[in-house]
Amino acid sequence: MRSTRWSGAIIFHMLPFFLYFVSGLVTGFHVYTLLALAVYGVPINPLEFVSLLGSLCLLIAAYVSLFKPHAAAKLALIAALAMWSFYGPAIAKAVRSRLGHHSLASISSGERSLSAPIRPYKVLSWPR
Amino acid sequence: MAAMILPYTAIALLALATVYSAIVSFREREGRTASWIFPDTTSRFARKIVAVLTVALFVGLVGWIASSARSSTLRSSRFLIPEGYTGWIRIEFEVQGTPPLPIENGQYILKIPTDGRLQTSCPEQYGWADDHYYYYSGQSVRPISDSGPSALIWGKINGEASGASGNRKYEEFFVGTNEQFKELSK
Repeated sequence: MRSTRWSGAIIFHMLPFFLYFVSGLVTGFHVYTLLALAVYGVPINPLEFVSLLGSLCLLIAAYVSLFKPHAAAKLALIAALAMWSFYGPAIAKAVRSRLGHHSLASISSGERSLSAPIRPYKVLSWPR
Repeated sequence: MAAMILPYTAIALLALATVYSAIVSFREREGRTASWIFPDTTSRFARKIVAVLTVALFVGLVGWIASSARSSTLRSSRFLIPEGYTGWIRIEFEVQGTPPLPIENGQYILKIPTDGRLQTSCPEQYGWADDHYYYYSGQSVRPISDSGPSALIWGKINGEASGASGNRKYEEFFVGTNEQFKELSK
């Protein structure tokens, strides 16, 4: 009983670590999947790199939180705000698309949506 | 809907991390009491556990990358595309009654017909390979750039489609300028 409470206390006292670590990992992986679409010719949004840097800073903040929770929180806040520079416009675009009855998976004029694009199968011209 | 789980989770976690870090950042440092939600510090034991798990994670990641790089050495392919062709190319694999791909100098030769669709009995290969693309006209061939500003190869994708003839594995890519490719993506 005592050991259960003790291990539970350790996990609870590492709440900032888990929060920053998981957030950095998930957001980083999400932006990576979007960046990976570049191999299919999808244009890259520079804000995706800012967001990826933010994810890295969140991971760093996770480790800093084990020693200096207050300093880690400041670093995490800066990182999170940097990441919102990508997620904010992306959410706005997704909401606009949904209100306009467009697919969330669409891309237009070089802007990137939150999920992968659907590519049409069409041939421009045949050789003569 | 499943494709949206990752973005929704990422946004939810980001929102949570933003609110939490903002509260901790702007909290009064003087006279505050530590609690499980706002801990002051972490025990040495917990730090040691994190250090060990981080090293294990790092070693596992390096090992996985090294093993996947070693197991993904596959034969490269030479794609011969009809001169002047612009549009999507589709290669269908494991199609019964079709010829296997010829091999020249250790490379698979994929000579694309004028309709842009090639069928072969060969299985599809996965992994990293240094593929090359050429335009052919009669006996002459000229290379096609697949990277950089003058690239003419875009949107390479592997997939599997099911139809009346069963499941069919295929590979597709676009031949043309980036503008033409973007035009199709709209």
